[in-house]
Parts: sequence; C-alpha cells; structure tokens
Amino acid sequence: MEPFKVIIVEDVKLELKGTEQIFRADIPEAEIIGTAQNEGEFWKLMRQDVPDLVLLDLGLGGSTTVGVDICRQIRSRYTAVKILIFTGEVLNERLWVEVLNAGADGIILKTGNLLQRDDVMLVMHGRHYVFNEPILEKIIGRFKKLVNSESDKSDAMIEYEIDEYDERFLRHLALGYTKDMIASLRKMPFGAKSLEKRQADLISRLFPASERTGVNATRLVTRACQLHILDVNHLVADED
Amino acid sequence: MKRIASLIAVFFALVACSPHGEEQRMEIDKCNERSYHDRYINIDSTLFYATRAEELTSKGRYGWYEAQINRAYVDYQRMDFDAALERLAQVTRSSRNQFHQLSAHVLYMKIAQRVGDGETFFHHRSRAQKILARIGENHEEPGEHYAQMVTYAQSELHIVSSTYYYYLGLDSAAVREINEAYDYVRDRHDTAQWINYNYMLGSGGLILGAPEDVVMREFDHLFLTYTLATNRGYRYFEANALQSLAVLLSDSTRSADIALQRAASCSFLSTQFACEDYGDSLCFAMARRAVTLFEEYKDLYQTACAYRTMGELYFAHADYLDALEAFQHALSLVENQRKRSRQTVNPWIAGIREKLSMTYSALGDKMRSDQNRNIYLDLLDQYRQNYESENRLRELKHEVASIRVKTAVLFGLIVLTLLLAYVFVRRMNRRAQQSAQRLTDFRASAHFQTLTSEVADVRKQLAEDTEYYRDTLQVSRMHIERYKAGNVERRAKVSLVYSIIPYLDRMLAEVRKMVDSGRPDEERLQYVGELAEEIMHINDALTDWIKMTQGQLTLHVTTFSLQEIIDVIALSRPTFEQKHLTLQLPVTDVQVKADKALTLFMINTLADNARKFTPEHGMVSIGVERAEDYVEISVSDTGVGLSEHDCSVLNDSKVYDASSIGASASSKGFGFGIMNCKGIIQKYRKTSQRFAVCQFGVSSTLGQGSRFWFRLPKALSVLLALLCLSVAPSKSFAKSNPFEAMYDSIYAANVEGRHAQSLEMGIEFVRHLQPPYDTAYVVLIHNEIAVAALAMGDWPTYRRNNDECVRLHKLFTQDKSIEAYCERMQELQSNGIQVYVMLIIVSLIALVLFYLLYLRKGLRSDRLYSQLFTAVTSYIESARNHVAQYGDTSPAHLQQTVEADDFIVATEACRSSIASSGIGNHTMTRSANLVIDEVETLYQTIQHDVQQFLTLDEQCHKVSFEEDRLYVMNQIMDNCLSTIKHETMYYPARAKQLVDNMHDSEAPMGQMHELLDLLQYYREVYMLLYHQADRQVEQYSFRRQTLSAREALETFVSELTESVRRQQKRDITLRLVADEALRVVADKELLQTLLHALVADGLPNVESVSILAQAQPTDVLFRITFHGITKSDEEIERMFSPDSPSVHCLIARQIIKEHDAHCGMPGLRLHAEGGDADYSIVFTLKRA
Repeated sequence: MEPFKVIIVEDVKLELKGTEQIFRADIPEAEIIGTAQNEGEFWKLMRQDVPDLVLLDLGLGGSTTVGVDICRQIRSRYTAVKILIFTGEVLNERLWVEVLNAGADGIILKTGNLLQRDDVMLVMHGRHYVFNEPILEKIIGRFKKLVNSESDKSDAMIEYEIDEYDERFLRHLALGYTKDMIASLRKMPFGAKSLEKRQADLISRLFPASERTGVNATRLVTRACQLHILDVNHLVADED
Repeated sequence: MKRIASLIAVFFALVACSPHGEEQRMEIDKCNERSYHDRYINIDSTLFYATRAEELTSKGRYGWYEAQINRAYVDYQRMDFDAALERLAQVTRSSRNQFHQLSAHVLYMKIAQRVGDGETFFHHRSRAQKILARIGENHEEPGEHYAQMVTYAQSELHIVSSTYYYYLGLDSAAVREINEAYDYVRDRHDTAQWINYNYMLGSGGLILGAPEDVVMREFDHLFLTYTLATNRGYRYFEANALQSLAVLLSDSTRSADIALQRAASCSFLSTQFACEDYGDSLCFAMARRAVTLFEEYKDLYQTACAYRTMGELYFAHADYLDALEAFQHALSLVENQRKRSRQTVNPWIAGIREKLSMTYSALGDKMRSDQNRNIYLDLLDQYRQNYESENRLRELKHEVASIRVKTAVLFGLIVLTLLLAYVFVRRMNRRAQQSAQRLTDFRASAHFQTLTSEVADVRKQLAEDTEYYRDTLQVSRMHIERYKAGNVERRAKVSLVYSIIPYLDRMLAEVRKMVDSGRPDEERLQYVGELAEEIMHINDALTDWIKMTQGQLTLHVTTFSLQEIIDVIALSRPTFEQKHLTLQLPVTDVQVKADKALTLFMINTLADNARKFTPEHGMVSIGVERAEDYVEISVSDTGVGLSEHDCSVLNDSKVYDASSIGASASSKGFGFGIMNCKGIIQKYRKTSQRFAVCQFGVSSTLGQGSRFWFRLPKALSVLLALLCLSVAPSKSFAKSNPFEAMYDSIYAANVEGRHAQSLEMGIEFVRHLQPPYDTAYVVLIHNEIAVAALAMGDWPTYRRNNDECVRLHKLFTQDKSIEAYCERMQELQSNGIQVYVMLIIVSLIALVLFYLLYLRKGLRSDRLYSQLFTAVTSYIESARNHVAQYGDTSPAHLQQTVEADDFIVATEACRSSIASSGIGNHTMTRSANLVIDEVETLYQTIQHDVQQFLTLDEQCHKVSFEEDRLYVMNQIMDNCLSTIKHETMYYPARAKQLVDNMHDSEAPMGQMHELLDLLQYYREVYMLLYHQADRQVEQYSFRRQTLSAREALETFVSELTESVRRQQKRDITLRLVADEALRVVADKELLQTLLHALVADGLPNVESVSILAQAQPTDVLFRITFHGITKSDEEIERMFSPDSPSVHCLIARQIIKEHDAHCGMPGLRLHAEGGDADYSIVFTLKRA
C-alpha cells in the first residue's frame, strides 16, 4: 500500500495518543500530517495540506455531534478525501445515519477492537460503508429483523387467508377511509354492504372467538398491524 | 223518606196503643170492623159501632181515626156532608196512618162525586192514588186489618171514579174504571164491594156490546146483586138493585126479552113481589120496595132517587099526576137536605127538575115546564165535566208556584254562584298576580337567597381551594424546574460515567494486543497506565461531584395512607384486564412513614413486572400486612416465577446483570426495576435509623409465581391521619153563521109556539149536520128541539135531543177558559219548567262557558301558575341539591359530580314544562324563565369555577406526575451513580497497580492475563451499572418548544442580576444584543439551566458580561463574553472536554447534547474561545 496522509480529529489527548499509536503500530503507510482537537484547528490544517484520509471523532469539545457538520463540509469541499468516523457514540444510531448521509465512508466505534488496519485499508481502497464489528452486528440485527418482519407479513397473509381485497380494505381502513369511500375505489369491486360483511369476516379470522365481541374498525386495523398484515411504515392509499 | 214515614206511623201507632191493653185494642178493632161491615146493612148500626169505638178510645189514639171515618160515612149517607167533611179533615190533618188517610181520601171522593165537586174529587183521587202508590212501594205487610182497608179503598176508588165518569158522560172512562175495580173484588172477600161492583155493572151504561146482550148481562148483574144483597142483608144494595131492575123491566120490549131468556130469574122476582107477570106491576112493586128499603135504611139521596124512579115509571105509564107527585116528593127531600147542608147534589136536583119540566109539559103547564127546564139547564151549567181540568189547574198552579220557588231558588243560587265566581275569580286573579309577583320577586325569596348564599359558599370554598391548588401548582412547577436541572445534572454524570467506556475499551484493546502478541509492550503498558489514571481521575471527579451534590436531593418522607397509593394502582386495572389478568387490591387503613412518590414507584414497578411476567388469565395481588413496627407490602403473581438462583442473586447480590434475571429468554429483564427498588430501600436505610426496618425481598417458585415484598416503617400517629377522613182561534162568528141563523129561526118558532115547525126544522138540520160545526149553537138547537119535542110530547125525540143536548152541553160548557187557563198554566208550567230547565241549562252552559272560557283557563292558569311555581321552586331545590353536591370540593368527588351533573337536563325539563304549559300569560312564563335563566347563570358560575378548578387539578396532577417522575428518576439515577461509584472504584486503581507492577515483573504475562480478566470484569460490571443508569436517561424529560431568543436571554439576565445582587451583594454589567424576531427550538427550563451553567464558573470574578444572539443559516449562535478575564489555551481546550474539571461545563455539555438529540438537528456547537482581554463561550441552537 502506498503511503497516504491522515489528519486525526480527536479532542481527548489520551485518546489521540492511543489512536496515533495504532497508526504507528498497525498502519505504518499512514502519514499523520496533523491532529486537531477542535473544529478551528482542523480547518486550519486542511488549509495547510489536504490529506487522503480524515479520521474524525464526532464529539469535539462541548459538542458531541459537530463531526457530522465537519464531515458534510469536507465532502462538499474536498470530494476526494476519505472520511472515516472514529467515535465513542456506541449507542447513538441516529448519529451514524446522519454522518453517513453527510458523506462518511465508514464508521468505526471506539469499542471492541477499535481501529484496525483492515478497515482503514478498505476505506483507502475506495470502499464505502466500512464498519467495525459492533456496528456491523447492529446492522445485521436490524436487517434480520426487517427480513423477519417481511416474512411475518407473507406468513400472516397465508395464515389468515388475506386476499388483495382484504389487504386493500384493511389498508384503507387504517388510512381513515370510510366504507363508502373504500367501495368507490377503482380496484374495489364491492359495495359498502358487502364490505360490512367482509369486515365481520375479517374479525372472525383475525380474532380468537373469545375476543371478537366489541371489535370495531380501529381494533381490527390494529390487530392487522400486530399480525404484520399491514405495515405501519408503508400505509399508502391506492392511486385513483 | 217513605220508609221513614211508615216507621213514624208505626211509632205513633205504637204510642197510641201503648196505654191500651191488647184486649181493648181488639175491642176497638172489632167495633170499627163491625161499623164498616154494617155500612150497607144498617146505617144506624154503623153509627153505633163507630160511636162505640170512639168511646173506647180517645181522640187521636188507636182506632179513633178509623171510627171517625166510619162516622163520616154515616154522615155521608145521611147527606150531612159538612159533618162528614169535618171528620175527614181531622183524619187527613192529624192521622199519620196512611191507611186512614187512604180511607179518608176515598170517602172524600165519594162525597165529591155525590155533590158533583169534580175539583175536590180529583184532588182526593190523586192523593189516594199517591198513597196507594206509596203503599205499593212499601213491601212491608200492613197486617190483615189494614190490608182489607187497602183492598176496599182500591175497589172503592175505581167504583166511585167509574160512577163519577158515568155521570159526566165519559162512558169509556167509566167502563175502564169499573173493569179495574174487578181486580180488587173478584176474590169476593169483601162481599159488600163485590155486590157494589155487580150493582154498578147492572145499573147500566158500563157494559159494552150488542144492546140485547147488554140488557141481559145488566139483568144478570142486577139479579145477582139483588139475591146476594137479600141473602146477606145488604138493604142498600137490595134497594138499589130493585130500583134498577124496575127501570130495566119498565121497557116492555126489554122485559119481554128478559122474561124469555131469564125465565127463572123473572119467575123468582114475580114470586118475590107476588106479581103474575113481569110487566108494570112488578116494576112498580120493586120500585116501591126500593123506596121502602131506602127509607128504612135512611139514605136520603137514594130515597129521593127511588121516588124519581117511581115518577119515571108513572111518567112512562102516562100517569103524569102520580109522576108529578113522586117527582115533587123527591124534590122536597132534596130541598130539605139543601137547607141542612151547604153541600148539595146538583145533578140530583137537575135530574128531578128535568123530570118535573117534562111532567109539567106533559100536564100542559108550559110555564112550569119551562121554569123547571131553565133551572135544569142552569144546574147543568154548574155541573161541568171540567173538574178534572180544574184539579189539574190547581195542581198546575201548585206546580207553577213550586217552579217559581224553585226558579227563584235557582236564580238565587245562580246569583250566589255568580257572586262566588266573582269572588273566586278575584281571588284567582289576585293569586295569579301574587304568583306572578312571587315569580317576579323570586330573587328576594328565601329559596333564591338560600341558593345564592349556598352558591356563594361553594364558590368561596372553590376559590380557596383553587388558590391552594395554584400555590401547589406553583410549588410543583418550581420543583420540576429544580428536578429538571437536577436531572440534567445527573444525565451529565451518567455521560461522565459513560466517558470512561472508551478509555476502558482502549485499555482492553491494548491489553488484548499485548496478550495476543505474547509480550508486554512498554509503550502500550504506559498507555494503559495512563488510561487507568484517567479513569481514576474521572472517577474522582464523579465522586467529588456526587459528594458535592449529596444531600441536595433528600427523601420526601411523609405519613400517608397506603390506600391512596393503592387507589392510584387501581387506575391501571384496564391494562391488567387487557391481558385478562385479575388484579386484586387490598382495602387498608394502614399509614406508613415513607417517601410517597418512591413507594408508588416501587409498587408500580413490582406490579408492572408481575403483569409482564404473568401469563393470561393469571392473577396479580397486592397485599398489605402489619407487623409491630413495620408494614410489609407485597406483590404476588401467578407468573413464570424465578429460579432459586435468580432469587438468591436478587436477594443477596449488590451487583448483578439485571437483564439476565428471569426463567426464560422471553421473561428476561426482570431485574432492572427490582434493582431500582432495592436501591430505594438501600437509600431509606442510609437516610435514617428510623428506616432500619426497611427491607426488600423476593420468594418465588419457578412456574408458580413470585412474591416481591418490601417493608416500610409504620406511621406513629394513626389518629392524626384519621382526622383527614363526610290538575186562537177567534171565536168571532160571522153574522153569516148558518148555525146561528138556524138557531134563531128554531128558537123563534118555539117562542111563537110553532113547536112542530121548530121540531121539523131542527131534526132536518141535525140530520144533515156535518162537522165542523159550532157546538154552542148545536147544543142550543138540540135544546130547542128538545123543548119543541117536550112541548109536542114527543118523548123519544125529547129524550134523544135532551140527552144529546146534555152531552154536547157538557162538552161545550167545558170551561174553555179554564182549559185555556190550564193550557196557559200548562204552558206556564211547561214554560216554567222550560224557564226552569232553560235556567238550569243556561246556568250550566254559563257555568260550562265560565269554566271553559275563564275558570278553566283561570284554574288551569292557577294550576299552571302553581305548577310553574312548583316547577321553579323544585328547580331551585334541584339547583340547591346540585350545588350541595359541589360542597365537597375534593377533586375526585367534583369530577364525579361534573360527569354526573344532569342539571342541564333539569333545566331543559323545567323549560320545556314551562313552554308546554301553554300559559298565555307571557309575563308569567317570562318571569319564570328569567328566574330559571338566573339560576342557571348562577349555577353556571359554579360549573365554571368547578371546571376551572378541575382543569387546575388536572394540571396539578400532570405537574405533580412530572414532578414525581423527575424526582423518582433523579433518586434512581443517584442510586445508580452511587452504586457505580462504590462498586467500580477499585478496578481502575487495581489495573493501574497491575500495569505498574508489570514493569518490574519477571512474569509480566501472567499479570497481563490478570489485567485482561480484571478489565473485562470491570467493563462488564461497569456496563451493567451504566445501563441501569442509562435506562433512566432514556426516559425523556426534554420538552421541545419554540422560544424567543431575546425573551429567554432577558429572563436569564434579570435572574442573574438579581442573583448576583443577592448573593454577592454587588452589581454586574450585563449587555444583551439579540434580534427580537430571533426564535430558537429549545427546552425552556434547560436553556435557562444552560445559561446559568455557562456563566457559573466565570461569575464570581467577572464584572461585565455581554451576551450576543446572532442568526445563522440553520441555527442561532449565542456568544457569552466575559470581559476582563482571560483563560489559557489549555483551560479553553479542556473547558468542555469530557475530563473538564468544571461540573457546570459538563452540565452545559449535557444540555447541548440533549438539544442535539431532540431538536432534530445534529451539529450544535459548544466551545470556548479565548481573547486578549476576555474569553467567550459560544454555543448554537436550532433556529426556528
């Protein structure tokens, strides 16, 4: 690997020390052209020499998220510069997304094995979305959950014998449509009376016998959401 | 009434008989009965026994009246009518015995019939009939004696009536009467009456049918009468029968027929009177015998009649002189009687006069004949048949008078009614006015006043309570402000705790690398040592900080009833029901001394855990047990339970992995809340010796359920707590009248003695007579024909015309005026009745109209007014009751009352009842509605106050909830931080020690492994404790608002100035530069806390501070410049770093971090900038 220039942005001296040590020990190709403890120092350094990689801590001084803003600015001003986030915000998932949106190439959490040569190299080789293990675990966990949820939906459709009309009916009920409004939908070949029957039928399918009394449209829709028949995040009305 | 009358009669009868013995009574009865019995046998005997009976008793006593009747009969037969009438008058006047009255009236009738006094006749007839009707209605048996009297009276009444009508020429009426008499005589008990009946039928005119048959039947009756009377000694009837038989047989045609058809009877009669044939000799014999018998019997009337009969017989045999003698004898007898008595028998005299007229005519004495005829005609005039009319007239007069009286009374009543109506109407109007006035003046009424004062009382109470609640709310808000500041401080502490993690991770990473490489690295070791030192440094800072704030948040220990907490727990019942769980709550009066918010938190946490880990249809129960000095509160469930190991961990371990507690993976997470509960109990124990009894424990069986319990000290004074418990035709004839003309010519012929011509003209005229005719002239014509016939000696023509004349005369002479008067009277009566009826009808109509038009309206109005008044009064009562419900100003009660408040229903009901009442008087309804409006307004003020109060109470609840939440959160965070401090202090120091030792160690790798183990355990424990604290951090207290930057800064500046002046007793120059339009997104309280935190460090030494708020593209930049103070670069650098020595800076950092996280825009700045003669703190907030 060819040598490359790095600027480390870290406000805690002791941590900076550790990070520098990692570079020295594990990534000797990296030439630390400067370290900055705050925003001002960093931009000063940038004006002096543009690095190949910026190792950016998200929290600087009193601000825990200033890194997001810095990342965005780097990306807009220095498109070629690789940005690797090295942060202790191990729980703030939202911030991860923010910083990825701001243009970061990867996020390394200051936990576990910390910064590893492989991760830095991947970034330097132009890989996007480079994460260390703890963050990957989280991403995989979320992904599994999503996939499971989707399979839950298809399972529910089969389990509760939901046809496209049932789904459309439930979805529009959830969107606050009245039965008359639903009956007037282009893709809904049923009258309001027929929908009443369909609703009663759905109640008998989705609720055990002991819980059917007093179930109204709201309760039915809620149940459909709980059973993953409806996806709360994708409640969209049919285009008419 | 009749019953009473008869009872009275019986009473008098009893009184009358009382002094007599039964024997004497019988004797009297016997005499009277004998007297009655001998009436037609021997009139002297009748008199004798009657006198005897009279002697046996005394006036008015038993049997006396009856004796008087019998004596009156004797007087009647002797034609001493005055005496008879006097006796009868005594009876009718004094006797209360209706039987005596009846007998007296019947005798009156006989006398009236005989004297031809129709008026009296009918009067007594009707009286007698009334008595009979009364007796008929009285079903009581009158006794044999009286029964006989009644039967006699009934038969006699009809027989006399028949006689009366017969002489009036009203044959059909006479026949009707005699037939009616039959009913009472047919049983022949009263032989005399039976004979009388038969005589009546035989005497002629009362039997209808073919003349031959009639003669035969009359003969039969007379013969029967004769034989019966002869056999039984009834001389009177014997004489009468003979007289009638003599007249009957005097006609040769008839006598031949009778002799042929009734040979035996005729034979018997001829034998009896020693006659050879049934011709004239027998008639004369019988007539003479009759005269003899009557003379013996001493019946003057009948004697005269007998002589007249004799005269007629002589006349029939043209023996006019003997006839004249007989008639004159009869007349003399009559004239004698006339001298004795005022009452005389006119028809009797008339009859004799007519016969004399005929006899004189036959003798050729035209002058005497005419004389007698004129007397005859005069008498006829007097004897009219209109007595009935007269009687009716009198009755009518009587009735008219009665109607007049009744009308007068009715009129009087109407006047009285009108008067009463007037009074009533006046009273009603007055009452209506009063009612209206009462309604108008309702505001002054006691009802309304009471309501007003009650409303005022309730409002006053509410105002007081509202004031109190406002204060409470204010205090709570201050608490929240403080707790929020405290909370952010604790969050800052937690952040500080967290800041150790990266160091720890770095240590671990370094050590792992060394372990992996198998050799210690000096540089790395040094770095690990430095990191350990830094951790120790942060720990120290944390410890200092915790120490510094220790005592700032103490437990709020109060004495309270556990029931209050249980009532709050009860509110979460639906969440249990949703999961089909039974939540059992105790009812307790236990008072405990503890922190209420924390106790609620603990029970809630435990109950919540139980709910989470108990499967459907299970049960969660909360128990309260009292011990000597503590109260044990337990939460039991029928849930999944805990393993023995988990139980021991929970009971004994200070530090454990809360997330690992629980029987199965699905039930993991049992431990966090429990850890907090344990922490709270620990805090109690640490606070005071009083809380030494505080303990926390758990007992559980896997799969069967758990029981969590904790103990709190019992309140000392239970009593103190108990105190806290409360609705005409014109009669003008034209001169051309043919009747008048005919009469004039016939009369002229008679006067001129041209009797034959007169007779011829008359008969010719009468033959062609066709109705209608003028009765008066027809009578006169018949009279002239009779006169002519009389003069001519044409007896049959005379008889026929005389009879016709008499008949028509009787008809014509009916007193038309009386009739007319009668009619008038009748009319008057009917008019009277009509008037009477009209008056009644008019009165009724008037009453109905009065009722309908006024009274009903009035009454209805009156009733409606009173209903209205009642409605309004009861409405006010209802209002008072409703107001009274607000007397208890406890929020729960008020809330319940407001929800159940049906006053609007009462108001609407009252309004609709007024509207539906349909009172025309709008003033009234308006007044009522005004009262209702006023009451409603009054009531609404209370409702408004209550609503306000409840809103306030709700706010208080909300604020109090927030307050408690923050308070509990802070307490728990304190516990967590305290635990972290206590449980983890050792590790970094030990790590440092190990690192240090490694430098000199011969076998450093052993220590390196030890270090790794230590650090791994340290991290594990640390993370456990951190997560516990972090869970609290996750509970947001952040409230995002859009604020005016200038306002926020002005508030800050004024507070700061005041604070400096108060605390440092000096003034500070504060310059503020901020655009008014500048708005930021922030938490109001946190922003103030931030500002205060930022100036806190520099404040003691600074004299001038300028604050600038500047707009930037997406945010607002705040710059606080401390003039005259400088900071070194290092100080500036470290100011907001995690290892900042300033707690205020750490808090400021935490606040910015939270705004970063909750305002939807990461990248907020917070840093310090140094200057030549000052330094500035810069921070940004999202621009709104």
